[in-house]
Amino acid sequence: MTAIVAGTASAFLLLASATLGGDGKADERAAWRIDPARTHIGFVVDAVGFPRTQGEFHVFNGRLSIDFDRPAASRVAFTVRSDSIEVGSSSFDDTLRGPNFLDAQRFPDIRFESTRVDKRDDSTIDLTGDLTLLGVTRPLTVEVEVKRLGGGRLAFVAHAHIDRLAYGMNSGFPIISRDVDLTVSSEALAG
Amino acid sequence: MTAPSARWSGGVIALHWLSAAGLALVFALGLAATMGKLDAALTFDLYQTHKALGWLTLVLLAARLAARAARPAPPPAPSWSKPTRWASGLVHTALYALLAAVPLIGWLRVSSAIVPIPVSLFGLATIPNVAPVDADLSERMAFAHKCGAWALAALVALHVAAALKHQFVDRDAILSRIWPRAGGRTS
Repeated sequence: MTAIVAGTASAFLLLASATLGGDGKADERAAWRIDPARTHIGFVVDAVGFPRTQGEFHVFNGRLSIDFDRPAASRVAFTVRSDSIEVGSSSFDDTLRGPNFLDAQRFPDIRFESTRVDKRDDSTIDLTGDLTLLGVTRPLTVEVEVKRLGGGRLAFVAHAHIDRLAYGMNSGFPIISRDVDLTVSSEALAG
Repeated sequence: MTAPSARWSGGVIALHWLSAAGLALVFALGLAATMGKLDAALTFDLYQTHKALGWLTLVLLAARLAARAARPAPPPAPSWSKPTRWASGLVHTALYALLAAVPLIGWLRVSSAIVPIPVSLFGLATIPNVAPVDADLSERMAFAHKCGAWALAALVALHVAAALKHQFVDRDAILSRIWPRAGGRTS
């Protein structure tokens, strides 16, 4: 069965299907609804001589197609608005949105499209796809942990390491680390 | 006790104390930003405010030098010995030199930084960068800026200590020349 869902952060539906598909309990559910209030797309970047920078992207949406019988055939397309970055300081936000980093005017979107899903165990999957940042597309693997909360809710936590230099975001290197740790946490509801 | 022969002009007095307040604030902001104990967003804002205020201290210095040049400086207190006059002149010259050099070096440091973020004067104007990106130069300027700032702080401490000594030990009332509430104690 294939379902198409479009909506805020709905990409994580795929992750639920891929993980739970094996135990047969969630197979009958075609769609999960992401709770935007419980969805956070956060990142962490280290630097020398400057505190660790932590922030979030607040505007995002996703499309996905799910094959419950064959989770590996499922697909995710996820888009984040570059200018929705927030680190707790408006002037810092503006700097990160500017040409030295996200160049949000020229590249308003950061996109991820899955190409492969590998089930690691009953609670973890590896989601491989293409990440497009600053107009450069590179493969990226996201480790996703899935936890059943009961009441038809699922919690997801996804981790990925992005090498920003691979996308041409060279500003500040090596004082600012090339590694960006990305963490996406979310909850989804059945139906 | 010897009264000073003249007071500084109102413009010089006002600019002196504005500079003192600005310098204290910009030093505190720089210290807080570089200690690394605060979060990144607050540290970033402290740096930006430090840069803007630091640039304004340059403007205040230029205005003070202009105001000083517009009217002759009060003569040294008659009670002062030659070494005292010489030491006072040296400290004041060094203060003026560092008041100019420290922010100028900071401006160069910011301009040549690996991520050059121009100085924004509280959103009202943007001060352009004055050098191309040069990480080595920027690091050298950062070190010079820090050394200069501590040297300036030490000189300010000496300046304040000397003013207090003249006021309360020597009782030559030299402080009244620059004290805004000293009234018209001139002679």
